[in-house]
Amino acid sequence: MEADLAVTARAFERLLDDRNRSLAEKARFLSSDHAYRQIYGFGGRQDLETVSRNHQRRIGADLMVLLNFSGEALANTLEPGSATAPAAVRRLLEKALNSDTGEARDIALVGSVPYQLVAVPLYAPDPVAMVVLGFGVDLALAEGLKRDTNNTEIALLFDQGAAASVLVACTLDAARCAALQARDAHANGVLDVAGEPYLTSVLRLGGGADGGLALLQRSVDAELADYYALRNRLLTIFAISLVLALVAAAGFSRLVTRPVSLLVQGVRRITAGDYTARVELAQRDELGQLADSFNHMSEGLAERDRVRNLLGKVVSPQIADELMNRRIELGGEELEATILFSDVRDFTRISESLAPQQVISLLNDYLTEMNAIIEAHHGVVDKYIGDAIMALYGAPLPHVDSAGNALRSALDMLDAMDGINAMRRQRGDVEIEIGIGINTGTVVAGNMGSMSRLNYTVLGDAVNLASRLEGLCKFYGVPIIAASATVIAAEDIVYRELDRVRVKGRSEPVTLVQPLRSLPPEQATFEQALTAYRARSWQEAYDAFAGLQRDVDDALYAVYAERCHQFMQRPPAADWDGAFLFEQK
Amino acid sequence: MSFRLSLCAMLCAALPGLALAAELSVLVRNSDGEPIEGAVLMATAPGVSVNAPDTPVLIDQVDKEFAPFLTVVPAGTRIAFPNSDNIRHHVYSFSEAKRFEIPLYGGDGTAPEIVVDQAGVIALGCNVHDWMRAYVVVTDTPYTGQTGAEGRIELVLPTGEYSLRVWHPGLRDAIQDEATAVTLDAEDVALELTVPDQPRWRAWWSPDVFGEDY
Repeated sequence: MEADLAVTARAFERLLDDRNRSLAEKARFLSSDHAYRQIYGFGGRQDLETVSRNHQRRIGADLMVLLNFSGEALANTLEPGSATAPAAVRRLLEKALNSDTGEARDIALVGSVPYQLVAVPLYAPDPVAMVVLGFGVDLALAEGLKRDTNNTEIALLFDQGAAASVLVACTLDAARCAALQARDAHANGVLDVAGEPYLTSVLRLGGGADGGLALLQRSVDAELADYYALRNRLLTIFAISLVLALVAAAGFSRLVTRPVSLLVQGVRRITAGDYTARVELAQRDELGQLADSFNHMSEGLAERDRVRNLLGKVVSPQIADELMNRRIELGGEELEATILFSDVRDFTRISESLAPQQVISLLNDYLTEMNAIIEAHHGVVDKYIGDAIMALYGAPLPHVDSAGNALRSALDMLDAMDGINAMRRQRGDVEIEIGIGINTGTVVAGNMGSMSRLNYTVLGDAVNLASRLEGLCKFYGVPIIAASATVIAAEDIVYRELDRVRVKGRSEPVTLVQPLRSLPPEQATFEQALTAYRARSWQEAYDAFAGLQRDVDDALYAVYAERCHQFMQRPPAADWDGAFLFEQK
Repeated sequence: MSFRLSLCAMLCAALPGLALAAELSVLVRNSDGEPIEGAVLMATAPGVSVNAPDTPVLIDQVDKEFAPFLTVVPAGTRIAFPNSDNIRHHVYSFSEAKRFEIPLYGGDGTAPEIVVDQAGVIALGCNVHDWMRAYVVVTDTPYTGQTGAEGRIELVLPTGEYSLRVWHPGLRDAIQDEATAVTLDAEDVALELTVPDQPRWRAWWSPDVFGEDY
């Protein structure tokens, strides 16, 4: 604002200067007018004053004085007839005489009226006198300057020292002009004019001999009004921008948060087990990709769930679990496990009398119940082979009491058969019997087969023996046969030793036992007979077994009686260790 | 008186051995002390007068300038202003010694005349060509001359009392009011005169300013 005013001040000075120059040009034109020269040459004072008035009117000047170089007025339109030129005019003459060009300008008071004065010589043809022209400085001039200086308020005044300053022209309103006149000091800066601050620039007019001053003023409030208007506009723009930004941000965050919250909901549903959760986002950005990935994931989970369910039906849940968790690899590991084989005795014969659906129904009922028992004892059904069941204990997951679990499973299965048979008897169906073989030993466990079709199973002699023992049940006439390796000390299980056998492919004899919940009353007799048998006391053993056979309906005693009878005729080798050799597989 | 002086002068001229004449040497300076070339020295003595020539003295106008610039003539001389240009001129003077105007006239062979009947300096101007300027110095004494390049002039004058006045163009159409009195005896006299200039402004219309004539 201050810089602006300084520019205005320069413009103002330039304007005054231009006006001066233009006045000087007019004056020159007048002074070299031949008619004027002629009057000067030939006329008297009265003629000079007449022509001066005429010329003054021609160019719109307010005073015209013709002076000789001694300062005597030859003509004076302000005071006709007076040879004394006004002081300001004489001062100007002095200035002109001492100049390079013989011309001078000033703004000065003539009497109490301010004039812009120009002095030019009168050439006839040499300079013979000085023409001084005066142009009144008034409100019209100030208004004109105000227009030309971008509405800067202009006050022209003459500070006459002790006397009150003369306010010549003032573009402010009357009250402010009066306030301005009342002031006796004027300086650059902010001037308080009737309560309103004005930024003021003070310029000296002319030589300043008369104390001529021009005050260039800009109302601080008016100037700042523009600033305030601009500021308000900027604030408005700022507010609008802010609102737009907030709306945009809200929209943008909705764009982000909506998909995120959808994804969170989806994840919660997945966590809760609902694998049908899907997130549909019509976006092709990272969130859209995330949603796609999420959908793939939940699809994968659902698929895995389906597979797990199906797998659980095809294989045991534990194996399925192992498969799912990829803890089982193709190949295998050696581990200690108890293997249980069970079989429905004479199933082929039974099924022949039944319709296929009835066969399946029978099998399904039976297997479902057996399966439940096996699983209840932490067993795993490895496979069904027709009516046969192969179950594992201690594989794939090791268990502290695999043997006990297997034995209790077998006993429970027998109890369950009682229930099944009771129902079958009621329905008039044939009762069914099962045989169970149990062995414990080191097996190779793992997924076997091709990559496209794998079976988790166990292999090894221990497995074969278990299967063989199951097959021996019919021979010994017992429902369960366990190898002695499976025998564990338990309160709820007792054992009856059945035989010591040497099976094909194995050099070591195997002791077979029958697990029971309680021993039969004739157990002591049987054990004595068995001791006699092993001591090669064939007759004594035969008598004992035969006696047992008569008293108790137990195929085992018949087996031994028969065997004693045979040994009596063809005794075994001298190094017989009591083990019976099974030739058949 | 006049007769006696004339006689004396004649005697002086006729009898140089009698030392009735002496040389007056004057150096003319301006107020800055610089010698003035072309200054006119006029020595007047009581009773000595000069007769005007019978034929007019010509001040021509050539190429929008007066020619010559300075003319020194006795009072009563007729001056003719032929116009050698093919345009018209308007000769005037408002000098006290002679106020006159010859309104626009062309170079048709006529040469308007005036008579300069009063001693003094006449500044000539042309109303249509502001820069045209010429001076006519009208004297009432035969003892005149112009200073040379060094601002010096020597006049051999009969012995006697003289009033010396100097004019040069810097004085415009004013001749010094105050004369310098000098007495010439048998001895030569050398003296210096200082002549102040009038203000010499570079007028706004001078050819220097305009750069070309018009």
